[in-house]
Amino acid sequence: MNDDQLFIKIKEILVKQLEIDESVVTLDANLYEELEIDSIDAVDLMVQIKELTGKKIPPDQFQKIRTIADVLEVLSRL
Amino acid sequence: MKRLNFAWRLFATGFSFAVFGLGGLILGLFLFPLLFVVVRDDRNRQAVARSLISKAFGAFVWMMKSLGALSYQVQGAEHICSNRSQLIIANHPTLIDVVFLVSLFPQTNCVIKEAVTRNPFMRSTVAAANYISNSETHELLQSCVARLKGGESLLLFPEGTRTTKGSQQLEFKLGAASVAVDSEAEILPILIRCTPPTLGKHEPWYKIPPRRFLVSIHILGPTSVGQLVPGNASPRHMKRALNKALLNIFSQALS
Repeated sequence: MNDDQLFIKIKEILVKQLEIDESVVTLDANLYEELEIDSIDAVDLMVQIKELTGKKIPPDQFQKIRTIADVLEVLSRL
Repeated sequence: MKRLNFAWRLFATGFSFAVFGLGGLILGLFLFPLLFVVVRDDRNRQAVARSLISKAFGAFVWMMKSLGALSYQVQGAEHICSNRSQLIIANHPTLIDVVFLVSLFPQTNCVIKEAVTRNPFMRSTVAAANYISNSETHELLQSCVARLKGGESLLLFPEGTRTTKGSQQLEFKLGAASVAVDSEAEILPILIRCTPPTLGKHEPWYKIPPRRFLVSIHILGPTSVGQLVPGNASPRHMKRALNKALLNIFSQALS
C-alpha cells in the first residue's frame, strides 16, 4: 500500500470508528488538538493500523506522533 | 494519653511496613518459586498463589487492626461472588485499600506496576499468581478484556493511581470504562473511604493521622454497561458515557 492509499484508509478509520468529521481530516491536522482524539482513541487507532498494515508502532515512537503525516512517516520506517 | 497513642501507632505503622516488606521478601524468594516446582498445572498454581496472597493480606489487615493502627468495616459483602467473573471498580484513596480488596476477593486478577513485576523479589509472586503486568496501554487493555472473558474477575482503579490528596474532583481515566464495554462484564463498584486520610499518594509512611484510621469499604450491587448507559450508541461513545456515569456514582457517594 502506498502513502496515498494508507492516508485514505486511516482517514476512513478516523471518520467511521473515531467519529471525526471528514472535512477536518488532513495530513497535517493535529490529531489531539484539532481532531480532538484522546488517549483511548489513539490506542484504538494504533490497533486498527496494526490490523491494516501488520505493523505495530512501538510506544516510544507512538508518543511522538501528532499528525497523520507523522503516522505515515513512522510506518514507512518500520 | 493521646501522645502515647500516637507514639504507639507510629511504632505499629512502621512495624507493619517492616512485616509487609519482610513477608513479601520471604514469600517472593522462597514460597512462590517453590510453588512453581510443587504445583505444575498453571491454572491450579494460579489459584493456589492467589489464595495464599489473599490469606496473607487478610492476616496482615488483622495484624494492623490488632495493633490498633487501623479499624475497618465492610458493607455489601453479600455482593461478593466467587463463581462469576466480575469487573471490580474501586476508587483508590490509600495504599492499603488493595490489601483489603485482595483479601476480600481472593481470586481476582490485578494490574501490577511494571516496576514491581520486574523486581526480583516480587517476580515469582506476580508470575505464580499470573497477575497482569502494566505494560503498553493497548496490550494492557486487551489482556484485561481477554482475562475477563476467560472467566476471571479483575480489579481496576479508574483513577489509574492513588487519589491526589487535596484534589477537588475525582478523575477517572478511560481505561476501566473501555475494558468494561469491550468485555461486557458484570461491574461491581466499590466505594472506599479512609478517615482520617492516610498513606496517600506521595505521603511517607511516618506521616500517620492524628487518630486510628478507619477504612470503610462499601460494595455496591452489581451492575452492567447496559444498566448504567442505556441505549445503543457506538462502543466509542459508550466508553465515554460509562466513564461519566461511573464518575458520577463515585463522586456523589464520596463527597
